[in-house]
Amino acid sequence: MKRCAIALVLVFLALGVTACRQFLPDNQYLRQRTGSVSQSTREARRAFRHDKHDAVFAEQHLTCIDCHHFDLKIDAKEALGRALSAHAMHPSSVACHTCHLAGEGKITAAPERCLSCHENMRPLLPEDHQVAWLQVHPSMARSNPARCENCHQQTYCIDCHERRDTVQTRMHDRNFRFTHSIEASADPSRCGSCHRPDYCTNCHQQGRLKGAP
Amino acid sequence: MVAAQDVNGSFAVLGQVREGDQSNRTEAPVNLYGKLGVDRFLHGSEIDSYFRLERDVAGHDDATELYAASARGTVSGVEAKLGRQFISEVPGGAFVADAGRLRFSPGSWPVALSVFGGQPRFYEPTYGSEKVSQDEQIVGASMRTTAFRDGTFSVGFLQHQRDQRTLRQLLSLTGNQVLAHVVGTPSLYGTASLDAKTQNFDFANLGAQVFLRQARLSANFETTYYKPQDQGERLTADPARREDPIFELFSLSQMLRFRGGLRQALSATISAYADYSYQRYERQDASFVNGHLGDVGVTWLPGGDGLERVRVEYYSLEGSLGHVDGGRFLYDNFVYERIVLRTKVDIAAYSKRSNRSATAVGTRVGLGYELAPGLLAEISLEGNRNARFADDLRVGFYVSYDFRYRKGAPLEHGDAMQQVLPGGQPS
Repeated sequence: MKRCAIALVLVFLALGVTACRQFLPDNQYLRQRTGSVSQSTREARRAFRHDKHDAVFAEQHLTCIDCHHFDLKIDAKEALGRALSAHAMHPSSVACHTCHLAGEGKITAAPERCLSCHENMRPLLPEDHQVAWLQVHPSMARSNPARCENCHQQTYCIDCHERRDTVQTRMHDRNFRFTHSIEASADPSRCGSCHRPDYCTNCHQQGRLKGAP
Repeated sequence: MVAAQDVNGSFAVLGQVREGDQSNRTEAPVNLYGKLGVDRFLHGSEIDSYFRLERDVAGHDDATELYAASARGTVSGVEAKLGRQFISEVPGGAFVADAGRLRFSPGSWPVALSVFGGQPRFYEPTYGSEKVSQDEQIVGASMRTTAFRDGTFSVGFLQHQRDQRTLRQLLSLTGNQVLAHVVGTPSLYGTASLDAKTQNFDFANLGAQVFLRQARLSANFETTYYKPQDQGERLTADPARREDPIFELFSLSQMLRFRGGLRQALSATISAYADYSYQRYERQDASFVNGHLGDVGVTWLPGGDGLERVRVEYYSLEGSLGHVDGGRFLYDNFVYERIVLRTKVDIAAYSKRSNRSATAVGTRVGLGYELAPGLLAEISLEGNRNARFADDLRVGFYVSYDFRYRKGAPLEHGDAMQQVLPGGQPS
């Protein structure tokens, strides 16, 4: 009964806080992270430095019209025309990705990492990261590790895979202490990804854990 | 001359006061994490470093230190990466692992070649009664296609040794392909690994991911075959000779697994998901075990901006040692200026084959404040009730600082909140 009461209080607390958000100011630190894909592309475009690329462009015999499409006929005298012209003149993401991503046009020296240009990766979160990604990611990382390295540094892996015995629960809930044997018997292939048998025997064989079989 | 263009770092200290889970004494573990990286260093090279220090300030002996660092650089189409890890948990128990990788990826070639070798990473030092030797080496090579935009295929070889004995020699074929012109743009992936030493298929899997835009439905299905050893009918006495020592505590045979996941956006702010996996393996006593793991839940993002998350989930597990039925409730709020609120309730009712049945309750509330851009401080309270403790109360703290400096740009902050944003953790 007491547990139900706690759960109900938390549910009502959540609903109450949710209702109140309409009357409070926006969070300036978080606003920037709720962007769109086009916003992330615009940021990447702003990060582009012509002076850093001039030598490579000359070496690859790339001219202005390879990226900027001058062939569009727009009357730039009008305000709308100027805006359209500016927009049309901006190279699309294809112009950057041709050299920076794997493919026929890839230039070896061009960094492949998305973070080289894109500051805000949240809108670019791949579609396949949305479903059961925790279970899927070992297979995908094994099949194409270079894809992971486009966005993640190895410390991203370490953050989860090497956190042990911490006071925060990132992988297993606190109740896992009582149910882990059942989960291990349901799928014993998962434990070995991170743990070695000493992790089991330290508690189960040395009598350190009261009640452990 | 140092030509660093991008320096990023993250430091966190977290601690807790609690009654000892095993010692019946008051414990006060404190963890200190840090990572520091330099990108676009000389000739575009990168350096990453990471450390984790754990101490019990209440005066017990437990202490862990882990340091890891790697450097990566590219010259004339050859990328070289070297890394070292140092881990220590007891005096005299330090373990150092070194590894390296070379990758040839000339733009004119349709393939990339990699060779690698060294000692595999260890996450836990072995100081227990059943020791698995850490005298391990791996060496291998792989060739991966780079010419196809929608797919990657690779062939690889890995030799794994422990205690001067070859554990496995894996020949692997791996691939993934996106069918860009098919409805749902399915992504297919698969791996097959043959252990040449024992003529045994060690691992194989085949999976597909689909996203049906109109139905707003994402789906993932995968089948896996796993057989880490082929050593007859008896458990190998020396754990150092077992490929997957924990798996072999349960099975000497192969395991088959089918797993599926669905996620549907019911509206702009509400999505439902379900995951299920079925495992079947033969136990050491020649009987078969059917294992089931599943969960189903609903995620609600009030406002639709991801700054607030409510999640309700039911989960169920069943294995040879019992079954669990449980529920989770999560509420995270990042809406208010500089304030982070996180709550979590987990209730698990379990019944074990050993005739132990109980209900474990774990609750947690965290309240944080961003003292300055990038600097987040949080206090957490935990209240748990389980078979070990009638009342288990824990008080903790968490302070983190994240920064990024780019040459020619001002110091940037903000990743502190990013780390705890609900979207930051994939489902």
